[in-house]
Amino acid sequence: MKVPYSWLQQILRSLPGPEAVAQLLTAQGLEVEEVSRLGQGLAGAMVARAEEVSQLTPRLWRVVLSTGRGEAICVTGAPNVHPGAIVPYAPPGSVLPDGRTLGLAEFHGQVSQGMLLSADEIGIGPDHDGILLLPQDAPLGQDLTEYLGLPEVVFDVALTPSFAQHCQNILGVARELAAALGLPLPSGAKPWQPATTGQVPTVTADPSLCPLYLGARLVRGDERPTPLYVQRMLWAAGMRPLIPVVDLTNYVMLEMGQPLHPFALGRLAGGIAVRSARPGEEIETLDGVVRVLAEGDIVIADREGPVALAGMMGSARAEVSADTAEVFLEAALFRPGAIASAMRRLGLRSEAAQRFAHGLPGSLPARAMRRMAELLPEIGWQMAPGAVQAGQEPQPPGPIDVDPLYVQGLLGIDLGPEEQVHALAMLGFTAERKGARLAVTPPYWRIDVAEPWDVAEEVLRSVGIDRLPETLPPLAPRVAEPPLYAFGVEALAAFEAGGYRDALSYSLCDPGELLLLGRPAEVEIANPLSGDMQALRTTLWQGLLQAVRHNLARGRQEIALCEAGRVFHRKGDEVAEEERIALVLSGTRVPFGRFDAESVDFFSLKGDVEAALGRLRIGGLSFVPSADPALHPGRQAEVLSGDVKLGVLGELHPAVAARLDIGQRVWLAELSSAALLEVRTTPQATALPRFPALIRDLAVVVDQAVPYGRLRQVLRAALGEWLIAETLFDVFTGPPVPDGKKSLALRLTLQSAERTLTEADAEAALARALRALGEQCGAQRR
Amino acid sequence: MAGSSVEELRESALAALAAATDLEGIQAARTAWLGRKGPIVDALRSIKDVAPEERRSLGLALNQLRDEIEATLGERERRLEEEAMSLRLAQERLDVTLPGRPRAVGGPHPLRMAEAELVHVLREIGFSVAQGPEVESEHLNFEALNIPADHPAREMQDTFYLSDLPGLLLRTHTSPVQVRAMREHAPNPLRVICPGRVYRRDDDVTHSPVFHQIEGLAVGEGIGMHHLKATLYEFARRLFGADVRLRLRPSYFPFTEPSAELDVGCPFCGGKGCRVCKGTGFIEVLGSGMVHPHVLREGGYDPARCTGFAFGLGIERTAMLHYGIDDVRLLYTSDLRFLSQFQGSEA
Repeated sequence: MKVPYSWLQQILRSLPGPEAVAQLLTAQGLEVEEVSRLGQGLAGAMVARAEEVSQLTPRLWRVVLSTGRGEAICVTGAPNVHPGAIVPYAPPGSVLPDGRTLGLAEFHGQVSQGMLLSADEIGIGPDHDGILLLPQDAPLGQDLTEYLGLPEVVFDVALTPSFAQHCQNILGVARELAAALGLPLPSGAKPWQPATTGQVPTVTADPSLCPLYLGARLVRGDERPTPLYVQRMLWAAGMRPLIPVVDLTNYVMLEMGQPLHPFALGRLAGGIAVRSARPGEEIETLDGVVRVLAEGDIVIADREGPVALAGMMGSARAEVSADTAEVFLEAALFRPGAIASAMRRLGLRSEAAQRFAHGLPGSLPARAMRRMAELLPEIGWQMAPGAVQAGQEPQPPGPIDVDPLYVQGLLGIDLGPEEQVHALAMLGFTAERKGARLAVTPPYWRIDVAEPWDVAEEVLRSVGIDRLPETLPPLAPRVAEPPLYAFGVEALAAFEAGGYRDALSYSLCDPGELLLLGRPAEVEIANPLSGDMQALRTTLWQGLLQAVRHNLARGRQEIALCEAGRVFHRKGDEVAEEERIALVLSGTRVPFGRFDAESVDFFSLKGDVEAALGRLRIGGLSFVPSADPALHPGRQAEVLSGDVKLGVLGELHPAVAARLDIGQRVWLAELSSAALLEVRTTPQATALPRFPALIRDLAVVVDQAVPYGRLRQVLRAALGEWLIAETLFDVFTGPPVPDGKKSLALRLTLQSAERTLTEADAEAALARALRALGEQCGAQRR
Repeated sequence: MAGSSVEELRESALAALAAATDLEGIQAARTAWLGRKGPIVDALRSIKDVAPEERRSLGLALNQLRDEIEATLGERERRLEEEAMSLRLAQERLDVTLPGRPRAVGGPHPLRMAEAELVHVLREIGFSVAQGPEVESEHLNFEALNIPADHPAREMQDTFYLSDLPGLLLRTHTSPVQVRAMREHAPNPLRVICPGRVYRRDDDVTHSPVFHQIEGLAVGEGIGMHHLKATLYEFARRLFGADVRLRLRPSYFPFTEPSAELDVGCPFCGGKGCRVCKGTGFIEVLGSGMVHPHVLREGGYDPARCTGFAFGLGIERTAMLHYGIDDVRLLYTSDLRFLSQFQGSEA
């Protein structure tokens, strides 16, 4: 909310400087997010009077000015200057807030000595359609910044919902500032007490939607323009002056927080009803939008239908215009929830709606009516004696029962009951001591304070949050953590150590891509931001493949990424979340350079997985050919530790890669974090070998179709404990190896824990191995 | 053999040694002169043929000659070895400014780095990590946290709902984990932090529809706002440095009352006011407050006996401030040019 410093000054009279005020407001809970200075930099402009105005061209006028010290001639394009008008004049040499220095200019043969200024050029408002017309009593020749009190300092205050109820108005902000400064609180206008007879439309109101509706008749006399200070405050607050009577209703709303709605009385047909909209009922609001209403939206309707969307915006039918002579003025209370939900659904965040949505004090409509009655004569209007009321003013609940010890304990500040009473009084609360307890009554403008903790908060704000001592809490034992959290961090680090960079993807993705990866979406978003964020991911691959595309498109060929995160599965009416860790590898290991770039393949990824799982103390791995639809059917494996399934790895299916527009081979792995954690072991030390090892090489020829894993299994079974390690060092096909066969060369390390193995032991072992390989795998020694 | 013949032997030995200029020659000379078949051993062997009174002096002279030859050879050998070593070292000189053999460099994501730092500091202060689901019930995300259906705060957090799963949503904050942790541990005292992913229907330079928060909660008997202040200040000083300027400012959250926000002195301008802090000299880092009695009751604690405080902050925001990142979306594109800026720069 925009809060002009000068308005606060007008209410509270004496104030410290703007910087100090900004700090005080922030400390009070009204965070000043930005301080702007309207009209900063304007120099040399003055007040002048237009003496003669003559038309130069259809769109240019020549104005003879008197400045009190002499005459000047200006050319202006603004149509609103008339003889006798008091105008802001910037002579040659003056500087505008945008940095321009004015000189002489020539238009159609007429030299213009500087220019006349619009509100926009002065820097105080958005209006650039015409010259800013000043009041007739403005002293000629006076410096303009001095006359207008520029620069106009405006605070941009962030209102939290708790302040939106009582500080969405200048008086509310002024009260907070007064409390911080120890000044008496401005109470605002007293309630209006109208005679309830007169020529006013009758009103009926549904009390569940509109507990109180006040109406008055405003009559136009000898109308005068909106006072300059009102215009300036509207500008500073971000509103645009329009028509005097409308400007005043906006001014009162900004000042007091009560939105008021003026209807052109002559355009209302019969009495007024405040009622729920009928489903599908339509209204064209002042912004020209036809809005379809729902049951529960509140409308103001006359005999012919809705004339306003209550508390939000009027319609064109009863809009006040420059020639309106009689106005029906509404000051009401509407149910905050109804306004809030209509505001959300219709996307209509008008100034009025934002105030009604937070709720208003019961006596505010009557106070705002009285304030209007006070101000109307300034524009040559007045409030006629008649008035109408529907509903009753809601009464505040009784005092709040508060234990001062509770307040003291909750805040941790040593504050006795007397100090609490005093602190509350600073904010306009009355607190009476009732034995050991306090009976606290909020001021009329605070309808949000109802419970002892609300009162504690007010006490804290009043004494100042800086009064809080700094005391560390008493020691409590730390509770056990879910082991998966720390393990997730450790697992990522294990892959990072192997050269993978940690990536982060959205967990919302395009269901089409999940389908393409053979992992269709199981949970979809009802109100997605876009189609590519419509489903909860069922795999981390979708995000990693997107990352591959992103990096390839930027010329990056070496890709090694890992990601840890959750995937989502539907389980009946519930959603199950699973922590996973995934890898993607593509291109080469290291970029082009002096050393050969290592190109990556299936076995790079497999080796990386084996190494990382080794770092995580996960052993007993086996890789079993699998049938994942996202992967190349001949280049993928399920990863197991013992018989626990950890996940899958392999090459991205070429057809899927083509669909995703990825032009190079990509390898993927995805593992379940919970499964990894389940099979992780505590390392056990074993005795170091005491006897030497024997090393023997063995080469066999087998059918191509026999997997190495099978040979290894047979070999291990045949050699038992003596086989310490087997290393495959060559796989060969082609002549002299017969067609359909392959030759495998292994280096075996044999060692016994009991004795030194002899040459004869080694020979016997090899013979045993060959026999088993021959019988079970059809292998022959080469 | 007489003294004169020892002298002759010496002269011819020295003459022969002078001709030995490489390691092989030296080895040959050593064998020829000092070997078992060499003249000195011969002479020593024949010492028994000499008159007994000359034996001693002859033996002495021969031993001296042997030592002299050995010393001369040894000296020359050492010099040759030194020369050879110098030559080798000179030949093996490398251009050490050539690039090292590149390794595939991995590393953590800046967001994870920030999360790890926050978790580390908070664990040191005495909090334990707790976790909860990202798909949360509407009740735990809102009602249990004192945000009823028509509460204006629901507008502050535009929510993703799920198709065909009424009552479920993507959590808009990590606060529901507070309630879950309380329900698990009530009525015992509790101190937990909840880092995790949250979701809001928002997408621009500073808002991402998916982001991360970390939430802290302390509940027990006699917990007051002075404890909150000390905890937050301790946390901020460990995170930003002992001399950081700190400010607690009243604020509003539906699930805490009283509520406060913690600001730290703007690290970019030192508090003078700049674009980042919008001229205020401070940057907001976290929201906090005393747990609302409604929330305590939802968590299974009796608000008449137990009180608590809670705080929460955005991890993206912390990472962006800490590492000077100006667009939140960079954190989610997995651009390797970006990721490699944070650890292990590449050749």
